[in-house]
Amino acid sequence: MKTTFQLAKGLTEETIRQIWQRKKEPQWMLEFRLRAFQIFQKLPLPKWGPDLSQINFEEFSYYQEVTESRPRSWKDIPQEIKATYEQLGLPEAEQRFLAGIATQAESQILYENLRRQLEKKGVIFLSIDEGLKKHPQLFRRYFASVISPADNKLAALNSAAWSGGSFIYIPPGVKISQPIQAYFLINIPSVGQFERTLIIVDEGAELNYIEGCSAPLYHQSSLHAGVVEVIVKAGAKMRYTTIQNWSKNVYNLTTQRAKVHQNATMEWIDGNIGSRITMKYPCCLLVGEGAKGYVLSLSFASRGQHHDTGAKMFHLAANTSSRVISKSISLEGGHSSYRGLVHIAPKAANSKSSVSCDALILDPQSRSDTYPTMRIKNPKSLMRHEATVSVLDKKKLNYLMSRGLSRTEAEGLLVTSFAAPITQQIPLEYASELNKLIKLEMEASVG
Amino acid sequence: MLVSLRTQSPTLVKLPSSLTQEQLEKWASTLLTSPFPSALPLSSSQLTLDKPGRYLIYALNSSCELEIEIKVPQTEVLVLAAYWGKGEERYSFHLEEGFHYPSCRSLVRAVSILEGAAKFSYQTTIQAKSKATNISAQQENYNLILSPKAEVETQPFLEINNGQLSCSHSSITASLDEEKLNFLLSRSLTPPQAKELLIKEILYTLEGRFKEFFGGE
Repeated sequence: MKTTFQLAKGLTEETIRQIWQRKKEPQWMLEFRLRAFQIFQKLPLPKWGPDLSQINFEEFSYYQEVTESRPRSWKDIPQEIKATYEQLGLPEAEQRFLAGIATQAESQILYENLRRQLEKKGVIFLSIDEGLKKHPQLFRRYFASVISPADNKLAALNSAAWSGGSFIYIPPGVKISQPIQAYFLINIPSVGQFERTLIIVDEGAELNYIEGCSAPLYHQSSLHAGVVEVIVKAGAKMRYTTIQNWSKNVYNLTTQRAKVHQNATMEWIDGNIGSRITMKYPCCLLVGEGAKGYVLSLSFASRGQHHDTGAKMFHLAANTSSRVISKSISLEGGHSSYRGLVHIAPKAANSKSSVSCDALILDPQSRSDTYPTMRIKNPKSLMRHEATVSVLDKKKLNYLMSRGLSRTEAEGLLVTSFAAPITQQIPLEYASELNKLIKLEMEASVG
Repeated sequence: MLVSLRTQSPTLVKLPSSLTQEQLEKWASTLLTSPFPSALPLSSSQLTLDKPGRYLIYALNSSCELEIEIKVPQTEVLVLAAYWGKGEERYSFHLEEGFHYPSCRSLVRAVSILEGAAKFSYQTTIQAKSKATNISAQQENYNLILSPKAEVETQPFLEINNGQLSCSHSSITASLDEEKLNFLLSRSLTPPQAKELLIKEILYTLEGRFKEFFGGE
């Protein structure tokens, strides 16, 4: 991957001005970025959760560009990017289909064929930079309306240095039957990935969006501090799926939040396999009566990894409902934590919430924590939470081995069946990729 | 008519190694009504169990802030708590339970009934150290909210550091079950009588858990 432009390491006001200038953004965006930078400098890192003390924000480069010109067809895609698709194990037909997606590599969009097909339905699917330029009023109306820079330190950092990501608008009543997909790649050491995604699903519309992340292994730490904002208007449906497989030196610290209006539905499907440290808590603000929020979360932590993941549900209106299913697997000294919050406000009469967390620990070196918090302030609501921590069932293991499977194969089968409630919700090609990744991790742990 | 719960500050009872069915029933029925004769009030918030055996710790309408360290194998611990908050009453049940050795069993059950502007805070942490294998640890919490100003906050935490045990927790917060209420009203009970019966159902689950845990059911 050839870098054609890269800023020096460290983040200063001058760096931000250079990013703004390079991207040719309007004046209000510069003011927004600078304000966010001031907030970033004041806010501390969280004192709970994984140890983030090793992060040195001055060691990262905050902006780079990969190629000068945009390719027009599959054959114009750089060979290095095609090779990355091969590493992901994608068949050629799928690679060509995926070539229709907008792929971000080091903060630059390379390919957008699908966009043109969707435009005929009035759908906007652009890089976030283009969204800002081509639809300034729509963009400005919703940008940072769900996650403000003051939300947390990493959201402030993203707000100051954001680059790349998707801007999607689905008009009222338009239902997109095929999933829209995007991949984000980190290919350069000490590069920060600060993609910002903004999705608006207008009244009665439907969208299924999938993002998968991949990165080759490097020695220096990389940082991914993404922000995803979703607005789901009345009667609309949105599903946002992430399969994260960052290399194991990446800090993955992402803020994802959706504002869900009357009778709308938001689903977060979150798969975390890679990264050294992940802190991610997809959130639904159920602001409209009858709104529904779902989080299905799968976490797989092996040696040297700490996944601190979960969900946040805020019931702010009557007759809202939420469901959280979390599955985590820890092996070879891996550390998985579920961290969740359900808040039922005084006005949220007749609201229902159900949370289930199941954790599987595969050996004595591994660790699993569960930190749920429930705050109930309405008497006409129902909140149910349950969690289990267990090991592989010895009877089932012995049975499978008696049928000729090796121990590794038997363990792999039990682990993939444990994860099945989550993997069954994602498209088949992703589910098989996910199961393959899990299998590879388990084989690697056995050596 | 049951209109309130008696107060019992956090208390420790060491049970005999075995109980007849009759003794079990007698012990269970005493739980909500009067103190156990052999009970020891807990004066400190830290309790170390260093002799194997069967222990009951319970509290009624008395906030509880307790750290229990189980530092011996072959130990069974049952923790029961019930709170019936009215007016502006505030109750909290904060428990940390640490398992250090193998072959131990524990059940924690805390229930609350909240009226008026009462508030209840439930926070428990189960920690299982690396040597604490073959552990069975369960936490249960049930909260009944009966008025718009009542509030509950629950935080059932688990920190598990080994791969040979089974742990679970559950927490339910709800209002009176409408179906059950309507059924009782259809059986000619008055609303206060129906409400009392449903509240008793929740409180008497403590007796049921006592019999299950120590009776081996």
